[in-house]
This record gives sequence, structure tokens and C-alpha cells, in this order.
Amino acid sequence: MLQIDIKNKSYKDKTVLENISISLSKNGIYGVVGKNGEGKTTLFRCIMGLISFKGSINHATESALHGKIAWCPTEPLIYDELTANEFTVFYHELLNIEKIDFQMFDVPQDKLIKEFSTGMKKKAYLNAVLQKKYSVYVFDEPFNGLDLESNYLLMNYIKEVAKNSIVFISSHILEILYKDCDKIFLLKNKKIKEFDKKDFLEIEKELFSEIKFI
Amino acid sequence: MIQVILTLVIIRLRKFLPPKDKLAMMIFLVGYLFFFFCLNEKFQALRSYLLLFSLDIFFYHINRKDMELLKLNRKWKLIIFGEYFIYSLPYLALLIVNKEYLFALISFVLIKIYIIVPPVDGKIIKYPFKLFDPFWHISWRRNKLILFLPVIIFLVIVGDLYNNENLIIVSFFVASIFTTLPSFQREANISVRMSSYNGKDYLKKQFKTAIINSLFVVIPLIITLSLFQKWELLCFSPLIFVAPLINIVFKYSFFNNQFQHQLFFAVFLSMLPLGVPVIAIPFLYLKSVRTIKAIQYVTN
Repeated sequence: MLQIDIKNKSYKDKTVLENISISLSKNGIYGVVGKNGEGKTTLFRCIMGLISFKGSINHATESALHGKIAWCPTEPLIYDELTANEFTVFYHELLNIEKIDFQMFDVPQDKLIKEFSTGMKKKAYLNAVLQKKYSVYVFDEPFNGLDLESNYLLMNYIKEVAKNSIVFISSHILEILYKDCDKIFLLKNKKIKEFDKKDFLEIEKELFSEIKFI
Repeated sequence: MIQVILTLVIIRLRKFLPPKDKLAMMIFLVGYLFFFFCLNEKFQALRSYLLLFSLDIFFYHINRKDMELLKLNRKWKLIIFGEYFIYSLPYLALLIVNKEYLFALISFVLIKIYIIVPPVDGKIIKYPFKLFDPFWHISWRRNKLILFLPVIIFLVIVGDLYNNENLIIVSFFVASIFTTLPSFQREANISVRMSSYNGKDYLKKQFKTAIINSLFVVIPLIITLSLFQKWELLCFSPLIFVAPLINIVFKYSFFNNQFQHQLFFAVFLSMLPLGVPVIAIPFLYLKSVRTIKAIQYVTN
């Protein structure tokens, strides 16, 4: 269904990803874990087509993935001088969709976004971007900055859309991913390792085997 | 205090100059002085427009983020005045050399007003602009352009009262600036990437948005011109739409380099009377479409 092949992704002389191959045969939730700087966001940016890389990304049913992938970065790119409502209308026009009253989170609609807290900004961004249904969703640490109730709402939404779409989530909280992911990908030393549900506990061994307790 | 003022001037110039690059500083200074030399040569033709220079200071002042920090100093007003005074020194010298003492005094007073008058915060103005390009809302809100909209009308009224068509032409010029400002800013690549509109359609949608939004600015001007029965000048009002449309083409042609965008747009406008730059528009249009496609379909 989705085939990702990244032969090489480098920034100047530094290779970040090498010989990455991800093959997904069905819709579902797919976790991505790794330490800081191992290339999680770079992988997502390659999937999004935001940066160039050596390789290819192919979807079984979508000939071109332009406009078919939703992107929720750790710190959303949001225009501070707009109100939440204006930002929603902006995405509504950008995505060229019928007007719907989709509001996953309750945010003050007529307040300027610059007056919002980090979590509220994320909520306003998600309200705007998720007005449309996509073939692929990419959530880069989506739960950072959100309160408990919002995390619950978002996870339920992700579970719902994962029935018909492929959803990537990165998180540093493994328990969240263990519970709902169909597979988890571990990024380490430029390579990727795939773990099925039954092998999830192996991830901790891979991640923390080098830690020495004093 | 003088050290603080000089540091603030340097911070402002940092936008254009890399630190400790003496050659760049020299080129910049030569270019800056050459610009004022050219203004001096054409002073009589441009004297009516020279007060617009203080708008640059106004926009900078209302958008500066260091006010709270500066207010820690008791003499913050004097510091800011010093900074703006140094910044506008060549301009003031130009006015004084040409014996326009009244204009120089007005400039001084305007700078003082900008500093003294507290910022207008409070009610969020809802603009009727189409949001496909959010920078219309952002520019108008950030620069408080709504406060200047009556100036356009005022210029037409005064121009009619004193039979001075130049003032009405200035109102066209100001309206063009207001409609062009939004396209000097850039949306995030992700917005272009996620858009449902592909290359050419995306650009067309930007054109359409600019035309509709410009119309909101131009309509009061058209009504005023009609009321004063300035039919000949009214025929030229479509020209106001040209600047924002061309700037969109320049924006996407030089999407990754804002400095190049501004530079080439300025060169284009200055050479427009010769007619030569018009030839470049189809090529720039194609370049714009290619840039948008490159953002939407990144390949190695």
C-alpha cells in the first residue's frame, strides 16, 4: 500500500538516513521512535516531500501524494496574527474543501493566535488541518503540549482515521505507542528497524541497552 | 545611552549585512548614499512623496519587539528618538539641503508622535479579505493599515479642493503600496505543499485573491473619485492592481530569497518607464509556476 525507500538523506556531509525501507501493506497506526537527532523528523519531512532525498515513495492507490498527506509537526507553523477562526478558513480555502464545522478541540475562535498558549496553538492548528480526510497522516510528537483531555480526543481521532488511512506517530512515550500501534519503527544509527506488536518489548532493549546505571 | 542607540542602529542594519563584513558595509553605505544622491537630483519631482519615508519608521516602530526591554531604561523615548534620528539623517539632510525646512520639521514631529502615541490595542478588526493569502490580514493588522485608509480618501479630497492632480496620483500610489505589502511575505512551504491547487492553479488562485482583496482597498477610492467626477483619473484606477499582481510573480520567482525578490522588483519598477521589463513578465510567470511545482513535488 505504501512503499518508502530512502537510499540516502544527508545534510551537507552528515548522513542522517541510509537504506531505509518501509513497506506497509494495510492502513493502521505506525509508531516511529528514536533518540533526539536520530532522524525521526527528517524521515517525516521526506515522507511529506518537504525535503529532497535519494529514493522514492509510492502509494498503491494515489499516483501523487501532493495534498494527500496531513502534517502535524512538533511545533505547528501557525500565523500568530490571525484568529483561530481565520486560520481555519485559511486552511479551508487552501485545501479547497466544502465548509464543514469540524472542531475537534474547543478554542476561542475570535482571539488572535499570538495570545494562545503552546497547547492552544496546537489545537487551533489541528482543528484547521484535520478538516479534510487524507490518505496518510504524519504526527510528529502530537501529544506534546496538549492536556490530558485533548490527548484522549486526539488519540481517539487517530484510531478512527487509521481505519481508512496510514497514520505515522512519533512519541517519546513508548506506552502510548505500545497500546495502539500496529508496528513500531526504531531509528538508530541512520538505519531503521521494524517491530511487530508481539516484539514491542524488544524496543526497550534496543534503546536502553547501552545505558549504564551509576 | 549613545552606545545603546548605536547598537540599535546596528541591529537594524543586521537584516541587510553580515556581522564584521566591512566590504558589505562599504557597499551598503555607498549604495545608500547613492540612493539619496539620486533623490537629490530628482528632488523637485519627488518632493510631494518624501514624507512617505516616515512611514518606514512608523511600520518599524509598531512592529518592534524590544519595547518592553527598552522601557526598562528611564530614557527609552530619547533612545528610540536617537535611533530614528540617525536612521533618517540622510533623509533629513536631503530636506535641509533643498531648503524644505517645513518638511524636515514635520518629519521630526512625526517621529516624536510615533514614539509618544501609545499603541492601539484592543478590538480585533475583522477584515473582509479572502484568506487564501493570509498575509492580507496579517499585514493590515500588523501595520495597522486601516488607520491610513482614510488618508487615501483625504488626498483625493484635498487634491480636488486645490486642483492638484498630483495628490490624487499619490493616493493611487499609496493604495498600490497597501495592496502590494502582503505579497512581500511568504507562506510556509508546508502550506504550498498541502494545498489542493497545483503549480499553475495555485498561482492563479493567488492572483484571484489579490484582485478581490485589492478591490476592497480600491472601492472607497473609486467611490470618492466618482463623487468628485474625476472620470479621467478613474480610468487609471485599474493600474493599482498591477503592482500586487506583478509582485506575486516576483515573490514566487524568488521564493527562496526575499532580498532578491525585493531587489528585482525595485529594479523592475524603476525601469518600467522604459517598457523593457514588461518583456520579462512571461518568463517570470513560468519561473513562478516552476518554483511552486518544485515545492509541491520535491525530488532529488
